[in-house]
Amino acid sequence: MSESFRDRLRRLRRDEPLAGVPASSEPRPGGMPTWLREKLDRQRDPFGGILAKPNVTPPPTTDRQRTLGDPAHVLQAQRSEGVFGERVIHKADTVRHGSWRLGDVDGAADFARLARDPALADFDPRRAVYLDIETTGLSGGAGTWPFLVALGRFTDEGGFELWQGFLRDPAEERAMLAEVADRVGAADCLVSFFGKAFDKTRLEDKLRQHRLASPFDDLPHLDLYHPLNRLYTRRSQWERVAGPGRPPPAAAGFGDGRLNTMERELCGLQRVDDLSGAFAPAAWFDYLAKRPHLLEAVFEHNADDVWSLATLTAHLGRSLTEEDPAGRPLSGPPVARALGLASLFRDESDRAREREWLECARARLADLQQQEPRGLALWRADNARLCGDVDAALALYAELLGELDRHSPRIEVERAKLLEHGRKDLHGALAACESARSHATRYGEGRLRSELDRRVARLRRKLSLDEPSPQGAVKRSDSEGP
Amino acid sequence: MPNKWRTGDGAPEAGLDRGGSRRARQTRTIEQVVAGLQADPELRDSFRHWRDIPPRVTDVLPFPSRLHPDLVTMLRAQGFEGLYSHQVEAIDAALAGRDVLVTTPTASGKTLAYTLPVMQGLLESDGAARSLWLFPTKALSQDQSSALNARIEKLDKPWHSFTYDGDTPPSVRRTLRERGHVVLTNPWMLHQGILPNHAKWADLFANLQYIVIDEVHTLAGVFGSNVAGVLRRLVRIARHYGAEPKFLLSSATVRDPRAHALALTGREVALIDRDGSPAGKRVFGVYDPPLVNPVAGLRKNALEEARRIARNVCGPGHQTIFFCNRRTSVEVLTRYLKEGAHAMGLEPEEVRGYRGGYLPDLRRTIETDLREGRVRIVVTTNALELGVDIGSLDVCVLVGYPGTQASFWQRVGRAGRRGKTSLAVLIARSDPIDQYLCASPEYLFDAPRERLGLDPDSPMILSEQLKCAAFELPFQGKPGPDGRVVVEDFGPSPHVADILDYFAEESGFLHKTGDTWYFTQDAYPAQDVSLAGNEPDNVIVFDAESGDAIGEIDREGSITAVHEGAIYQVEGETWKVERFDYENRRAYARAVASDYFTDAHTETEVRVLRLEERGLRKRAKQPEEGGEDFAIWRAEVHVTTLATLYKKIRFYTRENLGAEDIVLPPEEMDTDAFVLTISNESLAELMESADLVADRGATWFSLGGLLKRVAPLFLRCRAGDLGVTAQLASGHFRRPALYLFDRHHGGIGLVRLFFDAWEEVLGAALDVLRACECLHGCPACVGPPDEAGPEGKAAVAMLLEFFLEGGRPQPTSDLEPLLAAPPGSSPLAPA
Repeated sequence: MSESFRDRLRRLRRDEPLAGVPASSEPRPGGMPTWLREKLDRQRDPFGGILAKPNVTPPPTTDRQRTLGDPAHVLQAQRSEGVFGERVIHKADTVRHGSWRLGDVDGAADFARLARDPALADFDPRRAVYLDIETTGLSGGAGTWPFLVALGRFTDEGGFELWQGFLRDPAEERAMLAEVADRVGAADCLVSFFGKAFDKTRLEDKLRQHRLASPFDDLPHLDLYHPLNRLYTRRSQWERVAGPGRPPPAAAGFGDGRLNTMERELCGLQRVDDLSGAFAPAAWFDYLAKRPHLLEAVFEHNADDVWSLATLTAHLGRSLTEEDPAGRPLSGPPVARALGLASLFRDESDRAREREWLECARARLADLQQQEPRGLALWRADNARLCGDVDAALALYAELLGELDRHSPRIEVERAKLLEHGRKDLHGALAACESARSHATRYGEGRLRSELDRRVARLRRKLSLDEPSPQGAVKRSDSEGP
Repeated sequence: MPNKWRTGDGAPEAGLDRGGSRRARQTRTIEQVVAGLQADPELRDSFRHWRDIPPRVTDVLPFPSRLHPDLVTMLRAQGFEGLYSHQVEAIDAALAGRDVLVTTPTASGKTLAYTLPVMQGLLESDGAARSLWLFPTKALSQDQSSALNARIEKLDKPWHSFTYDGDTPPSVRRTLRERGHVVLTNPWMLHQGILPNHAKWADLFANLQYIVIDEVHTLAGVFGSNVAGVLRRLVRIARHYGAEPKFLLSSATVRDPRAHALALTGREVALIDRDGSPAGKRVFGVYDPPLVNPVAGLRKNALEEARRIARNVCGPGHQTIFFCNRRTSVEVLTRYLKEGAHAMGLEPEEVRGYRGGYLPDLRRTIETDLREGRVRIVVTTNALELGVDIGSLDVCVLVGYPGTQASFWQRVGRAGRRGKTSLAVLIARSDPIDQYLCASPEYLFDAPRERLGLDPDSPMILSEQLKCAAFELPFQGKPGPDGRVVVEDFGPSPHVADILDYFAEESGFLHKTGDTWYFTQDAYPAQDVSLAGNEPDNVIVFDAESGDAIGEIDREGSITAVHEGAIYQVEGETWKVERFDYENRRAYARAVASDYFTDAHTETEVRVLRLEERGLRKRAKQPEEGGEDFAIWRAEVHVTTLATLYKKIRFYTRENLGAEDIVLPPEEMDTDAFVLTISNESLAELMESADLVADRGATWFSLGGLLKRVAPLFLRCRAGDLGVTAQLASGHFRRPALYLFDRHHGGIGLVRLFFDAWEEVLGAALDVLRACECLHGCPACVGPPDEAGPEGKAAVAMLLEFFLEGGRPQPTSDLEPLLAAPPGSSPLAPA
């Protein structure tokens, strides 16, 4: 009966003892079965590993310097809402981050088109705010803290100011968020990487929780993740035209679309001794518990992310000219970019420019002595047809029909249309239709087959060939011929 | 469905009862069906009890004066000229700002009583007010959503109700969060989806006017206690956004509904329990299947009896619903009744089964066919117990007591059309509770006697809910009266701050600054906390061949159900467990055609950790010397259960085919127990005086088994929620001790209820024994003689009489067990 409530609670809860934990920053396994932990982890990363590094194999913590107390140069900021920590770093915009300078954003253009967002029509990278946050988890929800918020901006004096707002205690959240809201609100637009799904959403939720007005409403937002993915990942274009099949050439794009891949391959940034974001939560928890922590590395990582936002913006805005600021060819996988731009103009229905980029992709493949994927040839044929270049389209279709597959009937239909309307070659059209009809039967394309029945009948009428009876028009027979 | 049968008053036509053409059966009234049952020579003697409940007259009152004119207009347009008295009372109380609980029966118009205040709130706030509705099942919330929208549309405003559950597509969720005026969801979604992401729902919380919860009697036990925690979290978040929502609750009739509502919501509610809706006359029959073996006390199978009774109570002129307690029974009985359809004047298509596991489309079809009268017989489980709209039927047959009074009345309530007589028949099984009801049917008709267990402040449940709550908003402490920091926004427990400190200092997932606790872990605790109990520890059973999951079993049950070699049964199929991966909580089984099942033996050891309450009866003979007859205790105990071996037992013949060892670690838990001790002297005296050939150990153990099985009459639980173990010479008490313990780690308050109800439980056990027609014990009472001892039945009855007669035990603060009197002075034989 002398047992205290604390003792009883400890006995009942059977929690793992905390002794000595977590002096290390490794994510703690917790006391549940591994399979369950895995299941929950899957649910907790709703972004399919875009934010977390998939393989955090060697814990980069051993040789790192842990520190105690506030990270260097963190000062106290004061607002009417309260106090919080902040750190400011100024760089001249001529400073290189990787092989690019921050000031290379000058001359970058076409953002509305590249990001497919008309709100970015007046986007000026010099008047934007560059956002990246570190949180205590990916799951979102009220108990996840955005403990470090970085905002970068170009100053009128030709520099780049990196401001990092920091929670020295969870109680500082409201004041820090109020400052973030003011700073974001002062900009003309926002630049982030995957921020539409993550950084912005997290801050909006937190602002709402603190009943603070959101600066994000109606603020144009360039989320670099989406345009860069469309231009540079294999998944976006190459796999659509080439299928999964044989190993893709390097020029076909990157295997993933993460920030680290983009900044390394496009802007030449090799991070040294970077601390993965997966270790950020433990670093902050260690700091709060007054244990030696790795926050210095988290601050560095966070700052690098923001400078990369600027250089990637500079890179993205040169995609159409394909020239870097020094006038050299733009870095990045050239075939992937050409296909990405072709698809951009296809979606704008700008057939001529779509065609230029398709031809460019084909030429670049040829330079690499790579065979043209069938999907690309088909795309070019369709494009030629839509451009009104009947000859080219017919030639390409004929070439494609050298090999039969389940796409053949549709290719033949397109060819028939061209013959009928472009060339006025009714006989040719009829032959193509009949061939298509036969292939449609073979590949089990029932609906196409009936469409072709009608088309054949109409062509026959036009040619005043023996007028088949209405039943005849739908008669299933492949033996009919001219 | 207009009544097709004639309301004739002709005398029962005995010759027509059985079989006969459709036309002949078409015109029978329920009165004639009842008369037929009472006249049938094969059945009439087995009806142990008949009771008529007279019709209830309508009590309609004018619309409440506070009711918004637009709502009055809307109601008048729908043909309402007033509302039932309980609706008026509920609306008045709600509009006066009270929290309300309505406990009138199913189909009495409870939904309208909630809908009107909610709509009034919308009208008065010009669409700003929000409400959140919780339903125990997904199907219910979808039904209600469409009904609600139909009502709201009548107001011609851009207001909507939405169902938010696991099936809601992500694309719709955003719209719903921003524009859902009435959000219908379930406790799981609230717990894991809405509350942890409350910022996304800020509009809802800031304007939350009502929290509507249907069927609150289902919120008991571990689940209910956790939901109470979820509701504390909900109110806390609403307050953060500046709202102070009111609760509108509905429930089946339960014992002390106000106390239940208070435990669940922390609010004193206005209770509305007088039903103003009309009801036809109800006739009840309690049917006890005939004894086939009086020595063994075996009765005919209830399912077979249902088939016999069906010939009388089914027909083309009315609709009959059969409730079974198991899914397999549904299939068996449906097949029987389809086969016998023609003899009842029906087509086989007019007989349908309905249970969980049927696809939603099929269920919707059957529901519609029931409403529109195309189905005349439906055989179901509890799937049709709660609010799914199937209209009103005429006859209800319960194959076995459903286990709770609330379920009984909800099932019975499925029969009964306005102004028409309805019939309900309960077919008893060979089970102590069913047999008790045959002997004491007044239990069914008197005021409810089950206690609902709800203990949101049990340390395990409270601490898990606090973890979730801390994730959602920091906790702010205040200096309390004695200088200690207290937390006031999470229920009455004095330990909230202690638990938060524990999390901050020992688990490391809270960080304390000043008097505020912040959540600081990379985790989403709602995902780890299951509302139904220790699910993360459940064992999943997989098909070793395909890898598909075939079942799930709780931690405590796993060592006896899925040990290697166990025959695991699912819906009548047998699977042999090949491997039990104890560490990873997985078992792998292969489908086999087994002619035996396995029965695992366990050894349970109970160690007393602390004693909390005691009642004591002194021996009449030497009260001054401190001699004691018996005592009851409330204790916290440590229970160790070790599975030792299993027997293979042939189906049907129960032949023992051999035994094998089980090698698994023991299961350990700390929980609450009710302990019954009897002094050595009193027991010796009793056994000696009775001149019985009884095995003391077997008697003592059988008593425990019987108490555990009748306990659900007085406390809401399943028999499996209680564990029992008996010690003839307890090391702690130094005398015979019987432990009934809560089988949930940490306890969920069942023992407190048992301590309160023990006399009723023992009394019911004695009634069962006295009424049981077996000679020396049977499965329907203490168990067969080979388990309970040769005269086990008489010996247990004698013990029960001893406990119940000769004075009640008195509460005492002395928690030291009395030492047995020294052997020399033992008054074994009176002089």
